[in-house]
Amino acid sequence: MVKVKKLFKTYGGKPVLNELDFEVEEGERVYILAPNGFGKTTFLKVLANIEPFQKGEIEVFGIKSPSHKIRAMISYISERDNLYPGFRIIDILRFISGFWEVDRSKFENFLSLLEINPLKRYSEFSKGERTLIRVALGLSIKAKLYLIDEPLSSLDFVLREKVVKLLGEMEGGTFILTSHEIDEILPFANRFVFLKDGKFFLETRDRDKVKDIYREVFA
Amino acid sequence: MKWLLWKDFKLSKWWIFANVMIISALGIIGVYLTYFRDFPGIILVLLSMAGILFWSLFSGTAHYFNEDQGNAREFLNTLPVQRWKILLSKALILLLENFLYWSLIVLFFYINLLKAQGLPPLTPRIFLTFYLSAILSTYTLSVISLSISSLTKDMPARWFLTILLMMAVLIALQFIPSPPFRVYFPELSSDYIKAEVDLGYIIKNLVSSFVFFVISSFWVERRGV
Repeated sequence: MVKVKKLFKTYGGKPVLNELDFEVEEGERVYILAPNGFGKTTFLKVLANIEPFQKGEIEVFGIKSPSHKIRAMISYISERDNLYPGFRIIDILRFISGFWEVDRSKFENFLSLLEINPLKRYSEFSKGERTLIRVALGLSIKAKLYLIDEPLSSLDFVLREKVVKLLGEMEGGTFILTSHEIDEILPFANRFVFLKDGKFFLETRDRDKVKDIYREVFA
Repeated sequence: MKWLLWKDFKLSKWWIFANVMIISALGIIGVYLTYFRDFPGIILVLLSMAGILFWSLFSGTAHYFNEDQGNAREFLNTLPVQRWKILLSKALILLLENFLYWSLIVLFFYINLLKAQGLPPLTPRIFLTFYLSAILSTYTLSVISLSISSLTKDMPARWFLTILLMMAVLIALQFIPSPPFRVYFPELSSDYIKAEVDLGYIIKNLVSSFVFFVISSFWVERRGV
């Protein structure tokens, strides 16, 4: 489904992704673990066709990257506050619906769960609420692959619980996500990969071992 | 495409509104001065012409303003469309803007001229030529500004590159022959002045800006907007 071969990308001459190989099967929920600056976000952006790469091959659902057709199958939820501040939530939903098939009832359900008024402008919400909105919008897109970058960063525990609840509402789907909040994401994911020196050098499916491996590798 | 246009119009409607209000205010005051104060109010219309000419240098940057502020350029890059369409949508809104501004300016210009005495007849041919050349000239600047703005987020770099590129284009175009579209106005000419507009030169400029638009479209397709 997702095949990455010998992926190579540099930033300012320094390799961030170095001959990286990776495969994901349908239905997997892959959790990428690494400290800051190890290339997690870059990898997701390259996979989402947002950023270019220098060498290697990426194939998503049989389509070679880069292609706008790949972006049609992906819902990318950014860590950054990247929506239009002046737009109301329903305007953003309307705009997104012009490009992807959106499950509106799911989105409305998410909004009521999060107690968010869709008639308010995006800029009127707090930073944490804006993260919730981005996650809710991204998860409402009927995508084949969800790429989620740090969905819990800079959220208090109440909002983190809400995001985890949203993720828990998802049935099926293939996910690749990054987060530093291991405890919250562990139950959601079913495959754990560790990124170091621009490569995925280790992986496990055993939740109980994840923290120990992380400590051993990155301490 | 429809939704990109919708988004771009929604984002730029306040720029458009502000410019329309400024042109209208200057035009109305100009007409008042001309008709009721015996003052050449056309100066104010000429001022708005200069303003729009200056604005068109930065209009492309303005169209990215909201997206730069809210990091929405990253969001734009996630859209499942070919990225040249993102540029095209902005270019179409810019075209709409140019039509709107110049229609207003030409209208106020005409009303002011009606009061002037001793001028040769102002035929529709003269006005249409003036209107078309004005729109095409400022649109050329807008397209170059837009193309540059799609390549970098850095404001000084944009302005510097825009001005540099325009100078380079103007110099380079001197070596390329213009298409033969000179419009001659015998009614405005005299022994000393040959009144004509070189539409061919203006079209040549516009085409060159679109060449740059195409190059930047290829660039953003690969690198992102």
